[in-house]
Amino acid sequence: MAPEDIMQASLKVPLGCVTPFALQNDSARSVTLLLDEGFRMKSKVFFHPLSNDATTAVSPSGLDKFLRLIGREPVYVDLEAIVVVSKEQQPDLASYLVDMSTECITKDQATIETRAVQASLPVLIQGMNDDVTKSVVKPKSKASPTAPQMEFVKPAGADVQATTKSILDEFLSAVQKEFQVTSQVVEKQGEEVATVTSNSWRQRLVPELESMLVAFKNAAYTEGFVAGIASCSRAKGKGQT
Amino acid sequence: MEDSGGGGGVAVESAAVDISKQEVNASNAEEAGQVVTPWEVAGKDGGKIDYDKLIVQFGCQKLDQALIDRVERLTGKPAHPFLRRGVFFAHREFDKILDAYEKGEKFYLYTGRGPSSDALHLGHLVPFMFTKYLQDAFKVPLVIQLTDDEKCMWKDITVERSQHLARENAKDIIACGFDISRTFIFSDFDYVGGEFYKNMVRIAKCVTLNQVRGIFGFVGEDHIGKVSFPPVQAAPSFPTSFPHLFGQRKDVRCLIPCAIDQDPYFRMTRDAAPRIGFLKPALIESLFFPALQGDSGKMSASDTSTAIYVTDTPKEIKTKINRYAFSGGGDTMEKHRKYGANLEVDIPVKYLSFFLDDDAELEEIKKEYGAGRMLTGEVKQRLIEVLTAIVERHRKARAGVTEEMVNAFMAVRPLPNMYG
Repeated sequence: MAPEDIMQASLKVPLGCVTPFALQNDSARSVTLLLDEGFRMKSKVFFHPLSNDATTAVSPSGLDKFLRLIGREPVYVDLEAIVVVSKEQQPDLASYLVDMSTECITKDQATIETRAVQASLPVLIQGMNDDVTKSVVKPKSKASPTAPQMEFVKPAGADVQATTKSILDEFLSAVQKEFQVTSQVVEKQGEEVATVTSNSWRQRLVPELESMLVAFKNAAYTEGFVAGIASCSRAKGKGQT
Repeated sequence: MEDSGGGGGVAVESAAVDISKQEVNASNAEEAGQVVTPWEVAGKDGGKIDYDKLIVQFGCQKLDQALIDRVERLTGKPAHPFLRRGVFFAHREFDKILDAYEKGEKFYLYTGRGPSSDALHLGHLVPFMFTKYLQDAFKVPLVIQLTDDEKCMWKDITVERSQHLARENAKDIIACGFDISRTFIFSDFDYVGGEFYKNMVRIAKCVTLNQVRGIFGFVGEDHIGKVSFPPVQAAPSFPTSFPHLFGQRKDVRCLIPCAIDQDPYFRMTRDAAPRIGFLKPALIESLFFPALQGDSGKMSASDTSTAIYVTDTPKEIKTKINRYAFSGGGDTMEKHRKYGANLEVDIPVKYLSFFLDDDAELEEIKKEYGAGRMLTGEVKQRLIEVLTAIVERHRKARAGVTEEMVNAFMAVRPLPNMYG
């Protein structure tokens, strides 16, 4: 399905009328809303109601209230952040995607889309088809992963340094095996090259990997924190403590 | 009372309040010509800072190779380049922290930032990069103070603006890679009160108006907010200021990584500590990160050509280094090939010694460039690569920091795994 068709089918608004208010439609339950951080600083923000011949003004807190009333948590992202994007580095917004773990997700189904909801910005991501159940951390490793990255995370606490070391050990031993296979002609030289290369690759990769992993850990903790707060306030709301 | 940390290593601890030594040191500073306070840094006659004189003037100690080796032994990994290259070059009682660590006693880290502008530059990142290394190497918790109240007073901005800047700066700090399960970030406007405030008052009672005049240079025309601020920056040195982390324990030591211009706050704190039943915080202090144009002072956030910002694009980094980085190379190709480069004043080499991890490569560059075989352009090119990688990594990390994550870092919550 073309993006415009998906938009009309799920948001049920005409072209040119993308608006957070459309999320009240049940057909839009699989659409993730990302709001530009810049909204929070304004006293009023403007969106179309469900047609584009009018404009509605709300305060940022009013918008948050509306979203919570329809069962969504407002998510703000710095959409103007410049992120290096390449084949290996997909825009890393997968963590914001609506949790559809109970539904079947295949690469063919474009049921999950994320869209920037700000009139002046171009649409950010078209049909993220990456498998959203895997960890969002993707090291630049080209070695075929023998197991999903999750396996390397120790159950007792998320140790960034130990996990980095595990990933690198796995990757570099795979690379060294490659070297041994392909440089059998000059055997001794092959091994030395592999060791030197392995060290320099380690030096190059460690800062990147550790940075990604600590960001992952912090994000996971934050999700738990938000869930905890929400669970406490629900309990309070129901008259329990 | 001045803590005589220098000369023979004998710590003179006297309860008597003796400000005369501080005043003498202050007047020596005037003669020496260089000005180093938390609000102003300038070399003598606009020249470079004499760090050895500063150590003597302040009375702290030089961080020697023996301590660095000890750190490597205790942590089981190579020391951070900032230690190896003498970026963190002075300390007060860092050896006591290492003693405690060896015995299995706990300590925590305390650092902070005055959120003075939206833009952070590399010089700002230096203490945070080092603090992150300390957190990872020793596996200890960290408290980070955002002194929004200080900036509100000194920069004359509104309370709301300073709070906004604090949150924005918090995102850049988080992007440096601190572990949320061991880190508590707080802003003064949010957190001051309760046990923290009680410690502030206890500290304040130990410091006279004359002393803060002597230490910080306050004058009669300064508003009273300024005069009463120092205890705010001192209080995080004491564990009971954070009851959600340390309960009522007074025996948890504190290590403060900071730039050396913050030393006056902590001299005052170390003086007060034993008088109110606390351990003195230890300090580990860094040089100033040189401005692009040269050695005479700190980078200034208000002049964008003096610094590389974490928001600079690769193109901007390239332009700034090529255009503004002060070169110690020869004026002409012939002179350069003959005499080599002056490494003392060359900014690209200085920056590389901060940020190029590979010791061997750095030595090679210094050798070749100093002998004139390597050209300024080549050194700058390498520097551009290194800085671009750092800035890009930071930007990626920064993009992943959400408002919820900031809230989580700043939530007053226990950290059950903080020594894990």
